[in-house]
Amino acid sequence: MMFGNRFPATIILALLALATTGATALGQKPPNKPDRGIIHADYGPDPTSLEEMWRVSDLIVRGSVKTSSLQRSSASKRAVPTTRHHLQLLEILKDDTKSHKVNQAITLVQMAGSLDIDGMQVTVDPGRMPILAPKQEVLVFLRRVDGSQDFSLAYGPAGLYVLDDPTVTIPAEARPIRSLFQEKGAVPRNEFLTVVKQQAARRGGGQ
Amino acid sequence: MSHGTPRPNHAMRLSKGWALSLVLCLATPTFTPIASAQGDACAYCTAQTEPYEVTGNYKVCVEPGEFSAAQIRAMGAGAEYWAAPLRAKGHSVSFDIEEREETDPACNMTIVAEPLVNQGADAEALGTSNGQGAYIRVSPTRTTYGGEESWNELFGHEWGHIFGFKNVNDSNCEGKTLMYRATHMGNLPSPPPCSDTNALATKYSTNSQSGGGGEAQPADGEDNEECWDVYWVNYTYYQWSDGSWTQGPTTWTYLYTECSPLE
Repeated sequence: MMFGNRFPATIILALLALATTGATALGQKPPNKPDRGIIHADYGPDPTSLEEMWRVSDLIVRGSVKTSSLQRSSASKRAVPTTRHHLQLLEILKDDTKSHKVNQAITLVQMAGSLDIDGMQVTVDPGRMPILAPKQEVLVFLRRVDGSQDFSLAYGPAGLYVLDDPTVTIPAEARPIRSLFQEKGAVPRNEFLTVVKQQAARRGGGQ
Repeated sequence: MSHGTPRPNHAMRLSKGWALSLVLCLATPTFTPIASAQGDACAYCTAQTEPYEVTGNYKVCVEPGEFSAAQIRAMGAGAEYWAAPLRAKGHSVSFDIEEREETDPACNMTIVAEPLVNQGADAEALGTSNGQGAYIRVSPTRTTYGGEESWNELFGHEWGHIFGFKNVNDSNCEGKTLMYRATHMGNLPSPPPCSDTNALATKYSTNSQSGGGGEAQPADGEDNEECWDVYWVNYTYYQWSDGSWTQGPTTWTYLYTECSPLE
C-alpha cells in the first residue's frame, strides 16, 4: 500500500461516494435508488459426503464448452444476469434420466456476468468460482432446473472442475472430493479423472 | 468496539483530527507466513468490502405470506447483528421490517422467496451503494430445513452483503466471521466476534466508501471536547492456496477513541 497510489484513489472514491449517495447525513432518509448493484450468491451448506454429491446430482459429466452467452434469467422484475453455456458431453458418469448420450449438447446455466436489469447495472460477484468460457473442458455435477431441460451446478463451486490444465484445482467447498486425494487442493488431471471414474463405476455409472 | 484487539507488530498510529484525512501507510505490504497470519484470526478473517454502505432508516418489505414469524424475526436479528454495533458508534442506521408487496413505492429494500435453483444458488443478496433497492432472496428449498438459529445465520450473512462485505472463503475462518461462505456460528453472538467488528470499523469509521481507506475521522464525544478514532496499520496477509501465494485482506484495526478538551 503505497502513499502515492493511495491518495488519488482515496479522493476519487470519496468523490464517487458523494456523487452516488448524495452525501447522506446521519439520520437522513436514504437517497434515490442507485444505478449499480452487486449480487453475492450463496450456495448453501457444503456437501458432506461423496454419496450426498452423487445423490443430489442429476447428471455428472465431462464436457466441452462450445458457446457461452450472457442472458437475463427471465423477463420478470426479479431477473438476474446468468451465463448460459452449451456443453458438449464427452463422458457421462451419472444420468438419472438415462436420456443423455455422448456428443449431445446440454445447457448449463451459471450465475455470472453483468447486465442492465431494468435500469440498474447488476453484476454478479462469482467469488472464487471460475466462469466458464468456450473451449474449456470440465467435469461438472449438475442439477436439472425445475420445469426445464437446463442444468445448474450442484453445490455451486463444489460442482465444477476445470480440466484444461495438467493440474485440476479442487475447491475447498468440495471436501468429499478432496478427501479422495488426501485433502490436496490440486491433483494431476489424469489422476483426478481416474479416481472420479472409479467412484462412478462403483456406483454403477459411466458411459 | 474492538478495545481488546491485540496490537499488531510494526504498528503506526495515525495523528488526530478531520484535517488529517491523508493516510500514512506502510511503504510496502508486509509478508507474513500463513501460520502467523492464521494466528491473528481477527485480521485474517476480516471480510473484504464492497464500495457501498447503508446509512439511514430503511423500510424493508418482506414478501407477504412467504415467511414464518420466526423467519421474519430472524431477518431482524440478522440486520441488528451489524446495525447495533454501528449505532453504538454513533451511526444512524435502522430497518423497519414488515410484510408488504415489493412493488410498494415505500419499500427501500426487499426480502423475497424466489426459486434460485436455475442459478444453483441457495440465497443471494444484492447490495447497492446506498442500500436503496437492495434485496435478499432465499430459495424455497432452503425453507425446508434449519431452525431459527439457522435462519439467524442465513439472514445475518445476507445482511452482511448489503452492509458491504464479501464472502470469506477460507475454511480456517469458519466460526470466526458471519461472512464465512458456509457459516456455522450457531446463535449470533452479541457483540459480534472481532473479525466482524473489525470489518465494521474498517468500513464505517472512515469517510471513504472504498473500505479500508483508513482516514481518521472524529468520533462522537462531549460537546466541549474533540474526539478522534485511533487506528493501527495492519498487515496485508498472503496465503498459500492452490499452488500459489494469493493476497488476503488488508485491514485497518480500530483501537479506541481518544479525546482532548477543545482549545
